[in-house]
Amino acid sequence: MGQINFTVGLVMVALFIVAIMTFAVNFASENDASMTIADDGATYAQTTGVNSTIEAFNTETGAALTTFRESNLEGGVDNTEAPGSLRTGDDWLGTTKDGLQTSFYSIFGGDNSGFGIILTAIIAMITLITALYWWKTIKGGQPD
Amino acid sequence: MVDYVIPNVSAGFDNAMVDMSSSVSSFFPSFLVFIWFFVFLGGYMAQKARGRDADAPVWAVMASLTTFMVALLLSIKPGIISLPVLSTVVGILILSAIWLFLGKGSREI
Repeated sequence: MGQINFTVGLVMVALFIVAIMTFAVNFASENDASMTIADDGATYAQTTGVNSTIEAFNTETGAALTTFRESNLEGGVDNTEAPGSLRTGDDWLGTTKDGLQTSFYSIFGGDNSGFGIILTAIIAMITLITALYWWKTIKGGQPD
Repeated sequence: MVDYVIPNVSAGFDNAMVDMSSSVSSFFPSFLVFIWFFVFLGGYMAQKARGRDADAPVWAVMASLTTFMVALLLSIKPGIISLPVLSTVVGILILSAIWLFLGKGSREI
């Protein structure tokens, strides 16, 4: 899976969470439901953070594009001069990690449920994949 | 002499569901589990029977979305399902979506 596919996957996860939560809350308010997912503070808190994540990602990618456009490559060098500008998307990683953690807690219970080690392993694996993609970008590989 | 009032037999089914839930608290959560496995296994096996590799993450998301919609409908009337059940359904839906979007495969997403 390339870096572009991975980033698109993270963005899709965040947008999916926003869509589900918004639909559930609006459905409950329009039908005068007895309970709504907004009553569960931990689960609903994911949506409130994603809006700021989207705006921050927009600003980041705009700045990265500007930096990249204004950078220069020296002759004979095959690595990018400003690799830091392509290391974006850690906000999306945080949204996915929060989604994983909240989902696990709602199914298996809190930190003391005994299944927390599975969640820890999955989050660590996704973080490692992200770090390896950034390393590949710094080294000068193709982003895809 | 008292006039006979014809009872409305079509009303009160929601109260019957609330009574069912209070008598057997695991009835509607088990019903939601049934819906999830019905959609998942039915779709997965049907796709596999057509001779191609079945796409488990897609069917997991389809099953989770169906269960989510039924759970939303059940949440309108108080006393049928509880908030932890609804949160669990949403949690399973999010996990299925993460499996779909971050899993490798031949799909276009």
